[in-house]
Amino acid sequence: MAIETILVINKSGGLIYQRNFTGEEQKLNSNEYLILASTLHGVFAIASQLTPKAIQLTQQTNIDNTVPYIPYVGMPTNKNDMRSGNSSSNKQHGTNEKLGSFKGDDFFKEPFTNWNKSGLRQLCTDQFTMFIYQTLTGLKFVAVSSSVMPQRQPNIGSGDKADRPKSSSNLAIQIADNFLRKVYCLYSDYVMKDPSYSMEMPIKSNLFDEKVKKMVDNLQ
Amino acid sequence: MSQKIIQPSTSDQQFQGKSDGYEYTVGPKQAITSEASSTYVHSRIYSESLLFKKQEVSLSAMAFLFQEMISQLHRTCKSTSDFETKLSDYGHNIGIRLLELLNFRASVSPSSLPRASTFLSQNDSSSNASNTSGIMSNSNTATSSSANERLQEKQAESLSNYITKMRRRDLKILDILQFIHGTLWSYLFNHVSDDLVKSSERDNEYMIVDNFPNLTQFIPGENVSCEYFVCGIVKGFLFNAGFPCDVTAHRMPQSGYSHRTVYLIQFDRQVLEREGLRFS
Amino acid sequence: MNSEYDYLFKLLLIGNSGVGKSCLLLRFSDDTYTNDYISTIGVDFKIKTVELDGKTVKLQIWDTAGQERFRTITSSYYRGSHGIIIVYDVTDQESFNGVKMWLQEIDRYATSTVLKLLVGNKCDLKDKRVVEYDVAKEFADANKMPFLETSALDSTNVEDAFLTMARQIKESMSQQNLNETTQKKEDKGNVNLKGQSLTNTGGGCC
Repeated sequence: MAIETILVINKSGGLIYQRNFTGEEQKLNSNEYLILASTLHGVFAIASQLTPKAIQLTQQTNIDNTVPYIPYVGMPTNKNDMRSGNSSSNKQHGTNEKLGSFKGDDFFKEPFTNWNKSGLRQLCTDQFTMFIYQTLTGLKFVAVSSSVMPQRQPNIGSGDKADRPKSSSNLAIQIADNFLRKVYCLYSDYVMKDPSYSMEMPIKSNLFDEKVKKMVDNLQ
Repeated sequence: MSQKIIQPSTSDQQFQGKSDGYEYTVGPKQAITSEASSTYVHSRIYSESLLFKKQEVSLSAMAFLFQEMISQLHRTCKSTSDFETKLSDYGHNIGIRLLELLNFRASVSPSSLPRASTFLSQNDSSSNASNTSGIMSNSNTATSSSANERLQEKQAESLSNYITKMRRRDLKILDILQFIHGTLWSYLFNHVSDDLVKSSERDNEYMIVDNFPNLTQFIPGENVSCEYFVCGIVKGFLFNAGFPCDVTAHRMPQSGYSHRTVYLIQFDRQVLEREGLRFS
Repeated sequence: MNSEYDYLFKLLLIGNSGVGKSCLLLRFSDDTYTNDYISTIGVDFKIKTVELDGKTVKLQIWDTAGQERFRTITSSYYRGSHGIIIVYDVTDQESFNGVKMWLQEIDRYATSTVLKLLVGNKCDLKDKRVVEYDVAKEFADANKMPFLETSALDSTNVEDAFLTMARQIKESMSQQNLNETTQKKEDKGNVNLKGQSLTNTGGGCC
């Protein structure tokens, strides 16, 4: 799954981080990205309104909001390197690939709850696929992937997830959720702990930028 | 079983819904409050040794605290040098204390203790006893306080038993630097510093290198000002040990370590003169 | 990485339908005017980049729909806005009466510290005026918010309305940027960092 763009949208709908990874020059200028992000925020709100109230109210029905843990999404692929780095005496320095303040070889190892319960999670087009991970606090992490999801069979609607739980589309969402959750981890490390950052404002930390880049590269 | 003793200061909220005690709708309820039921079940944390327990502080908590320290200082300081001096002063106070603490800890070798957990735990359980005694009857208080004294005596005794030989003060530049490089760094950052370097140009300059400064790892940018906290610690440590010096931080990125920092220690001339007189 | 601006402020334009919110915004962002009336659907955005104290600030103005049928969505736009501009039409008493209702909306959905500004639009239409300046001024004072009369047609006060607000927001964000002073730090001269390692060769040689 090649990621073209990562966006971070704050809880009030403002774009605070945007980066293209394809190496091409920006297709849109910064104002257009701002409008795009805020429009997405609006569409997200509309999608929540569209979600039937019954589903929103009774959350303990058969909808499972747990996202399974998929190992090493976005982590360095050379596992041997990681392991030797951990076993050596100075494990703090073992790897140059240190991505954040986690112990062990991955950010987390358990399934987690998807808090994006009533909004938009995935947008499929013929050109790209967009994944949205929303945190409990309303922060949105958006990944635009160049890979196009396989066309669904026309007779299958959106409600019958149980019929095809292992479909590639579902797996892609899970990978994206795992990945974007790690970007969220990076955000909490390198943005929240940056003394020069003012809340809800554009992210200017070059460390955050570097680590996100590294993680996107690892994914490919 | 949770704590059953109801302190006088406990708010009403806390014992609503409990089976015994006062209930507003019924009035006072007869509760069996025997001595047995009111035994204080204290947390295990008191019986753990402070000395040999693995010391861990949450990195995130530390990073947030440090972050707030930086931004607070930044609001009040006019210039970079002012900022660095103030941050260094914060560290200075820590360094002064650390010299005493680490010298003391280095004197107690873990192997000399038969049971590692008894050392500080007795002190804690005795203070527990005095806490709970306030709620018990008077006669109890008397006995427990005398027991308390006995325990304290015993503990002082045992402490002196454990320290057979106090660690001697470091008098040579190299010794104290090794101590910083090893013990101080391990205590603060859980690893020895990555290098200890003597300047090839000037004889009063030494450098301690950290490839990956723990405290500032989340702080972006090339500026090295935030490292002056650690500079202050080193400076205070050396100052209290009788090695007045100046410590500055410099960033020297190396492949893979963009935050690699060199702490440059410049000793005062008098330190070198003294060393020359005593040890040459 | 989007490093071309330092701050992003969210401003919200609210007011009854047809009071000229979109025109006001068009004047501010593009300095143009159109007589055509196109009802805003949901929300529209305009972005203006301004310089404040040497910082590049992007003002993102959320132009919400005034029509009642969009109300359920607009409420979700209040969240996290730094400033809210309530617009009424000086030639329309109804739109001025509506200001009270909009203030209630703000109380309900926005944070209490949000900056508010009351704007009476279309002040160029002098002969059709029904809401007097003094009345509106008194109302604004009672509700502790600044008040301006603007005209999107001849661009009176339009720039002022937005810039005053931006400046106030900037002031309220007392947090100074760390890089401001530390970046200027010149490398201290006369520092030599060459040397030989003592850890590998063994420190006990002396």
